[in-house]
Amino acid sequence: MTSSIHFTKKQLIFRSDAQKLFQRINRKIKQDGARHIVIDFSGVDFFSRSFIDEFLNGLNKFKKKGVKVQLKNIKPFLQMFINRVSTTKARIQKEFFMCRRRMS
Amino acid sequence: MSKIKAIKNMTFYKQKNIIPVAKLEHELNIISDQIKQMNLPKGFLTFVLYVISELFANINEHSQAKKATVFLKISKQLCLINIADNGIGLRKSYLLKQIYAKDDFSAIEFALSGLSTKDFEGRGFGLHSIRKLAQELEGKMIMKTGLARAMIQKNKITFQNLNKRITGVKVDVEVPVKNINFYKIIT
Repeated sequence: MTSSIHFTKKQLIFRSDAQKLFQRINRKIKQDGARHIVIDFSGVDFFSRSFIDEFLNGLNKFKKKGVKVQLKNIKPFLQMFINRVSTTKARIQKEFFMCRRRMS
Repeated sequence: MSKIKAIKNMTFYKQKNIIPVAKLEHELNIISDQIKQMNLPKGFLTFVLYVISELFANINEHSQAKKATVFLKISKQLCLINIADNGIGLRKSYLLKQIYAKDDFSAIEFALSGLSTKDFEGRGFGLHSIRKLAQELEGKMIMKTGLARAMIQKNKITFQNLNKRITGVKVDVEVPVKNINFYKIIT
Protein backbone atom coordinates (compact mmCIF):
# COMPACT_ATOMS: atom_id res chain seq x y z
CA MET A 1 0.00 0.00 0.00
CA THR A 2 1.28 3.49 -0.92
CA SER A 3 0.89 6.51 1.31
CA SER A 4 1.80 10.17 0.74
CA ILE A 5 3.27 12.80 3.01
CA HIS A 6 3.39 16.46 2.04
CA PHE A 7 5.61 19.06 3.74
CA THR A 8 4.15 22.41 4.60
CA LYS A 9 7.38 23.95 5.94
CA LYS A 10 9.52 25.95 3.47
CA GLN A 11 12.76 25.29 5.28
CA LEU A 12 13.84 22.12 7.05
CA ILE A 13 16.62 23.10 9.42
CA PHE A 14 16.67 20.98 12.53
CA ARG A 15 17.21 17.29 13.14
CA SER A 16 13.89 17.34 14.95
CA ASP A 17 12.20 18.16 11.61
CA ALA A 18 13.47 14.84 10.27
CA GLN A 19 12.43 13.04 13.45
CA LYS A 20 8.90 14.45 13.19
CA LEU A 21 8.77 13.23 9.60
CA PHE A 22 9.77 9.73 10.71
CA GLN A 23 7.02 9.76 13.32
CA ARG A 24 4.54 10.52 10.54
CA ILE A 25 5.96 7.71 8.42
CA ASN A 26 5.76 5.27 11.34
CA ARG A 27 2.13 6.23 11.89
CA LYS A 28 1.37 5.55 8.22
CA ILE A 29 3.05 2.16 8.53
CA LYS A 30 1.21 1.21 11.73
CA GLN A 31 -2.22 2.65 11.00
CA ASP A 32 -2.47 2.18 7.23
CA GLY A 33 -0.12 -0.74 6.78
CA ALA A 34 1.81 1.31 4.20
CA ARG A 35 4.98 -0.24 2.74
CA HIS A 36 5.58 2.48 0.15
CA ILE A 37 5.74 6.09 1.30
CA VAL A 38 5.94 9.04 -1.10
CA ILE A 39 7.27 12.27 0.42
CA ASP A 40 6.35 15.40 -1.53
CA PHE A 41 8.93 18.18 -1.15
CA SER A 42 7.26 20.64 -3.52
CA GLY A 43 6.77 23.23 -0.76
CA VAL A 44 10.35 22.99 0.52
CA ASP A 45 12.90 25.67 -0.46
CA PHE A 46 15.88 24.73 1.64
CA PHE A 47 17.39 22.01 3.84
CA SER A 48 20.18 22.38 6.31
CA ARG A 49 22.95 19.78 6.33
CA SER A 50 21.82 18.74 9.81
CA PHE A 51 18.35 17.91 8.49
CA ILE A 52 19.71 15.99 5.50
CA ASP A 53 22.07 14.00 7.71
CA GLU A 54 19.28 12.96 10.08
CA PHE A 55 16.93 12.33 7.15
CA LEU A 56 19.36 10.02 5.37
CA ASN A 57 20.00 8.09 8.60
CA GLY A 58 16.26 7.55 8.95
CA LEU A 59 15.80 6.54 5.30
CA ASN A 60 18.40 3.85 5.82
CA LYS A 61 16.50 2.43 8.78
CA PHE A 62 13.24 2.30 6.83
CA LYS A 63 15.04 0.63 3.94
CA LYS A 64 16.30 -2.09 6.30
CA LYS A 65 12.72 -2.61 7.51
CA GLY A 66 11.62 -3.15 3.91
CA VAL A 67 9.69 0.12 3.63
CA LYS A 68 10.20 1.94 0.33
CA VAL A 69 10.48 5.72 0.72
CA GLN A 70 10.25 7.76 -2.47
CA LEU A 71 11.12 11.43 -2.68
CA LYS A 72 9.04 13.56 -5.04
CA ASN A 73 9.29 17.14 -6.39
CA ILE A 74 12.66 17.96 -4.83
CA LYS A 75 14.18 21.08 -6.34
CA PRO A 76 17.31 20.16 -8.38
CA PHE A 77 19.75 22.09 -6.17
CA LEU A 78 18.33 20.36 -3.08
CA GLN A 79 18.76 16.99 -4.76
CA MET A 80 22.41 17.93 -5.41
CA PHE A 81 22.78 18.77 -1.73
CA ILE A 82 21.30 15.42 -0.69
CA ASN A 83 23.56 13.57 -3.14
CA ARG A 84 26.63 15.36 -1.82
CA VAL A 85 25.89 14.57 1.82
CA SER A 86 24.99 11.01 0.92
CA THR A 87 28.36 10.55 -0.84
CA THR A 88 30.22 11.88 2.19
CA LYS A 89 28.34 9.58 4.55
CA ALA A 90 29.06 6.57 2.34
CA ARG A 91 32.77 7.46 2.29
CA ILE A 92 32.88 7.79 6.08
CA GLN A 93 31.13 4.45 6.57
CA LYS A 94 33.56 2.76 4.19
CA GLU A 95 36.62 4.21 5.94
CA PHE A 96 35.22 3.30 9.33
CA PHE A 97 34.56 -0.32 8.44
CA MET A 98 37.89 -0.72 6.66
CA CYS A 99 39.63 0.59 9.74
CA ARG A 100 37.68 -1.76 12.00
CA ARG A 101 38.47 -4.71 9.78
CA ARG A 102 42.20 -3.93 9.91
CA MET A 103 42.09 -3.74 13.68
CA SER A 104 40.26 -7.06 14.17
CA MET B 1 10.45 41.55 16.23
CA SER B 2 13.04 41.61 13.42
CA LYS B 3 13.63 44.82 11.60
CA ILE B 4 14.82 44.32 8.05
CA LYS B 5 15.60 47.07 5.62
CA ALA B 6 16.28 46.41 1.96
CA ILE B 7 18.03 49.40 0.51
CA LYS B 8 18.77 50.20 -3.12
CA ASN B 9 21.74 48.80 -4.97
CA MET B 10 21.61 45.34 -3.48
CA THR B 11 22.55 46.54 -0.02
CA PHE B 12 20.76 44.67 2.67
CA TYR B 13 20.92 45.42 6.34
CA LYS B 14 19.52 43.52 9.19
CA GLN B 15 19.60 44.94 12.63
CA LYS B 16 21.19 42.96 15.35
CA ASN B 17 18.37 41.12 17.01
CA ILE B 18 17.99 39.10 20.15
CA ILE B 19 15.73 36.17 19.42
CA PRO B 20 14.36 33.41 21.63
CA VAL B 21 15.81 30.08 20.49
CA ALA B 22 12.27 28.84 19.84
CA LYS B 23 11.94 31.49 17.12
CA LEU B 24 15.12 30.69 15.17
CA GLU B 25 13.28 28.93 12.38
CA HIS B 26 10.88 31.84 11.97
CA GLU B 27 13.85 34.21 11.83
CA LEU B 28 15.47 32.16 9.09
CA ASN B 29 12.24 32.26 7.08
CA ILE B 30 12.21 36.05 7.30
CA ILE B 31 15.88 36.34 6.33
CA SER B 32 15.46 33.89 3.46
CA ASP B 33 12.43 35.72 2.02
CA GLN B 34 14.33 39.01 2.07
CA ILE B 35 17.69 37.96 0.66
CA LYS B 36 16.13 35.88 -2.13
CA GLN B 37 15.09 39.19 -3.64
CA MET B 38 18.70 40.30 -3.91
CA ASN B 39 20.66 39.74 -7.08
CA LEU B 40 23.44 37.67 -5.51
CA PRO B 41 26.26 35.87 -7.36
CA LYS B 42 25.85 32.19 -8.21
CA GLY B 43 25.89 29.94 -5.17
CA PHE B 44 26.14 32.81 -2.72
CA LEU B 45 22.51 32.75 -1.58
CA THR B 46 22.87 29.05 -0.77
CA PHE B 47 26.10 29.81 1.11
CA VAL B 48 24.41 32.43 3.32
CA LEU B 49 21.39 30.24 4.06
CA TYR B 50 23.66 27.28 4.77
CA VAL B 51 25.80 29.20 7.29
CA ILE B 52 22.82 30.61 9.13
CA SER B 53 20.89 27.33 9.15
CA GLU B 54 23.87 25.31 10.43
CA LEU B 55 24.60 27.80 13.20
CA PHE B 56 20.93 27.88 14.16
CA ALA B 57 20.83 24.07 14.18
CA ASN B 58 23.86 23.99 16.50
CA ILE B 59 22.24 26.50 18.85
CA ASN B 60 19.01 24.54 18.86
CA GLU B 61 20.62 21.15 19.41
CA HIS B 62 23.67 21.74 21.61
CA SER B 63 23.74 25.13 23.27
CA GLN B 64 20.91 24.86 25.83
CA ALA B 65 20.62 28.59 25.18
CA LYS B 66 17.52 30.64 25.76
CA LYS B 67 18.46 33.43 23.37
CA ALA B 68 20.49 34.03 20.23
CA THR B 69 21.68 37.22 18.60
CA VAL B 70 21.75 37.49 14.81
CA PHE B 71 23.35 40.12 12.64
CA LEU B 72 23.47 39.93 8.85
CA LYS B 73 24.73 42.46 6.40
CA ILE B 74 25.19 41.90 2.69
CA SER B 75 26.49 44.67 0.45
CA LYS B 76 27.89 44.54 -3.09
CA GLN B 77 31.35 43.69 -1.79
CA LEU B 78 31.04 42.16 1.63
CA CYS B 79 28.90 39.78 3.63
CA LEU B 80 28.94 39.76 7.44
CA ILE B 81 27.19 37.08 9.45
CA ASN B 82 27.40 37.27 13.25
CA ILE B 83 25.52 34.73 15.31
CA ALA B 84 25.86 34.20 19.05
CA ASP B 85 24.06 32.30 21.79
CA ASN B 86 23.99 32.53 25.59
CA GLY B 87 24.25 28.81 26.19
CA ILE B 88 26.71 26.41 27.79
CA GLY B 89 29.55 26.92 25.32
CA LEU B 90 31.48 24.45 23.17
CA ARG B 91 33.61 22.82 25.84
CA LYS B 92 30.69 21.98 28.09
CA SER B 93 28.59 20.64 25.21
CA TYR B 94 31.43 18.20 24.45
CA LEU B 95 31.88 17.34 28.14
CA LEU B 96 28.18 16.48 28.45
CA LYS B 97 28.76 13.92 25.71
CA GLN B 98 31.84 12.61 27.50
CA ILE B 99 34.24 14.08 25.00
CA TYR B 100 37.01 15.73 26.96
CA ALA B 101 38.40 18.96 25.53
CA LYS B 102 41.08 20.15 27.94
CA ASP B 103 40.27 23.80 27.34
CA ASP B 104 38.16 26.13 25.20
CA PHE B 105 40.83 26.19 22.47
CA SER B 106 40.72 22.42 22.14
CA ALA B 107 36.93 22.54 21.99
CA ILE B 108 37.12 24.98 19.07
CA GLU B 109 39.66 22.74 17.31
CA PHE B 110 37.37 19.75 17.77
CA ALA B 111 34.43 21.67 16.34
CA LEU B 112 36.33 22.96 13.32
CA SER B 113 37.75 19.55 12.53
CA GLY B 114 34.28 18.01 12.42
CA LEU B 115 34.30 16.12 15.72
CA SER B 116 30.70 15.55 16.63
CA THR B 117 28.97 15.45 19.98
CA LYS B 118 26.58 12.97 18.44
CA ASP B 119 26.89 9.25 18.03
CA PHE B 120 28.74 8.11 14.96
CA GLU B 121 26.68 8.31 11.81
CA GLY B 122 28.70 10.82 9.83
CA ARG B 123 27.68 13.91 11.77
CA GLY B 124 29.48 17.00 12.97
CA PHE B 125 30.22 18.62 9.62
CA GLY B 126 28.40 21.94 10.09
CA LEU B 127 31.21 24.14 11.42
CA HIS B 128 33.79 22.27 9.40
CA SER B 129 31.86 22.99 6.20
CA ILE B 130 31.36 26.66 7.12
CA ARG B 131 35.10 26.92 7.59
CA LYS B 132 35.79 25.37 4.16
CA LEU B 133 33.27 27.66 2.47
CA ALA B 134 34.68 30.78 4.13
CA GLN B 135 38.18 29.77 3.05
CA GLU B 136 37.02 29.12 -0.51
CA LEU B 137 35.56 32.62 -0.63
CA GLU B 138 38.88 33.94 0.75
CA GLY B 139 37.14 35.32 3.79
CA LYS B 140 37.48 34.69 7.48
CA MET B 141 35.68 32.97 10.29
CA ILE B 142 36.04 33.87 13.95
CA MET B 143 34.83 31.69 16.79
CA LYS B 144 34.69 32.68 20.43
CA THR B 145 33.74 30.56 23.38
CA GLY B 146 34.74 30.75 27.04
CA LEU B 147 38.18 32.30 27.15
CA ALA B 148 39.20 31.35 23.61
CA ARG B 149 39.10 33.15 20.30
CA ALA B 150 40.07 31.51 17.02
CA MET B 151 40.38 33.23 13.68
CA ILE B 152 40.49 31.11 10.56
CA GLN B 153 41.86 32.85 7.50
CA LYS B 154 43.89 31.68 4.50
CA ASN B 155 44.12 28.12 5.78
CA LYS B 156 45.57 29.26 9.13
CA ILE B 157 44.01 29.22 12.56
CA THR B 158 45.17 31.90 14.97
CA PHE B 159 44.30 31.48 18.64
CA GLN B 160 44.01 34.25 21.19
CA ASN B 161 43.13 34.42 24.86
CA LEU B 162 40.11 36.49 25.68
CA ASN B 163 40.35 38.83 28.69
CA LYS B 164 36.73 38.33 29.56
CA ARG B 165 34.90 34.98 29.49
CA ILE B 166 32.20 34.69 26.85
CA THR B 167 28.97 32.85 27.63
CA GLY B 168 27.93 30.48 24.89
CA VAL B 169 29.43 30.58 21.41
CA LYS B 170 29.90 33.45 19.01
CA VAL B 171 30.60 32.89 15.32
CA ASP B 172 31.48 35.64 12.87
CA VAL B 173 31.81 34.98 9.16
CA GLU B 174 33.12 37.73 6.92
CA VAL B 175 33.46 37.00 3.21
CA PRO B 176 33.57 38.89 -0.07
CA VAL B 177 30.39 38.58 -2.11
CA LYS B 178 31.22 36.49 -5.17
CA ASN B 179 30.42 33.29 -7.05
CA ILE B 180 30.97 30.05 -5.24
CA ASN B 181 30.57 26.45 -6.38
CA PHE B 182 28.76 25.53 -3.19
CA TYR B 183 28.13 21.86 -3.95
CA LYS B 184 31.78 21.26 -4.81
CA ILE B 185 32.97 22.55 -1.45
CA ILE B 186 30.34 21.17 0.90
CA THR B 187 31.08 17.86 2.60
